[in-house]
Amino acid sequence: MPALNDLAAFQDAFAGALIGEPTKLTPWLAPDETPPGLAVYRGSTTSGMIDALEANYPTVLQIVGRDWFRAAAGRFAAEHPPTEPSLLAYGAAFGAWLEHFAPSADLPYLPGIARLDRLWTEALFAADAPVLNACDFAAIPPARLPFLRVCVHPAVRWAVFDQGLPGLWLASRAGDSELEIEDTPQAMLVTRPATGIETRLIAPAATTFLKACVGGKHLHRATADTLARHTEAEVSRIFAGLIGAGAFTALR
Amino acid sequence: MKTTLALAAMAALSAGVAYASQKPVHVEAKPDQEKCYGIAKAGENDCGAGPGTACGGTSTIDYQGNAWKYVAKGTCTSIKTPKGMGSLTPKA
Repeated sequence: MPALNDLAAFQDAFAGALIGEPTKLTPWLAPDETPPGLAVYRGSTTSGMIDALEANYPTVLQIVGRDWFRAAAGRFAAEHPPTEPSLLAYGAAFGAWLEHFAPSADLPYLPGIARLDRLWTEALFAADAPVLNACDFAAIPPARLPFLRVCVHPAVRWAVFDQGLPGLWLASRAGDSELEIEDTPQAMLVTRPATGIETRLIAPAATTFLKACVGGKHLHRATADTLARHTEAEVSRIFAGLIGAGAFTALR
Repeated sequence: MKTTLALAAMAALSAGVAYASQKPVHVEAKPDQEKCYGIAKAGENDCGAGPGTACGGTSTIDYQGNAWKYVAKGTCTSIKTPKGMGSLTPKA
């Protein structure tokens, strides 16, 4: 029995009642009382969670439509209530949850699309950091370059798929009406240079290069890793593309 | 051997820098383009938020129901998919 004047205990009980455990509030209520106002709070809370998911997964929403999305989001929210007061980045587990959500079995690309939406959100809320541009790299003597490490910008995110989900995601976001999933491996890069979030297709080999950079390898090792896994890779184009996208924040 | 690899890497990397330098100079953010996190619309306890809210004291949301009556009606109906869509699990 919690102390009735314990605010924290009341708030916990109230939060519990909102997500379906109304008996937790019993100590604060008159016998046999069911507060009708609870439904208002429950409705607003659920609606807030669904709205947040809608805002964070716009491409999924576009693909399945509003009714389907809000119904699925409601179920997800019931199973995965927010763990922090802010809903800005709510729904990290939504993509993984969709994989096991029976009604999405006909849409096997949906979890991947959700994952790409999530990368965008993660990039948005990542820490601020300066972005190196081509001039910064041009100032380095070429002979020194291979023996430097580049630090990847904190907002950089990427994903590789066996099929063309990144292309589908980009076309959906661009509002294209011709939507097709190509049967080739594709990779997408998300960066956040000063002007906002940028998304683009990159060669899958570029993700090997990035991974090596994140792992703290020198540039000559990152080059060797990339060529070892992708013998046809054009490292110069990959490096140029990553510099142009604003993927790097420092050299050391 | 190691020297050869480092030389090859140097050639590729410096060519990369040269390619990158050909592109237009990175545009600096204007001072008024500061990020504004604001207040999440989704977090508002807003009775006017449309269907799904429950100002009347009765909840119209029943997402816990057993019958799944919602049919996907978005752009999914027009997406052309390749064969073998079972292998869509992300690799990395």
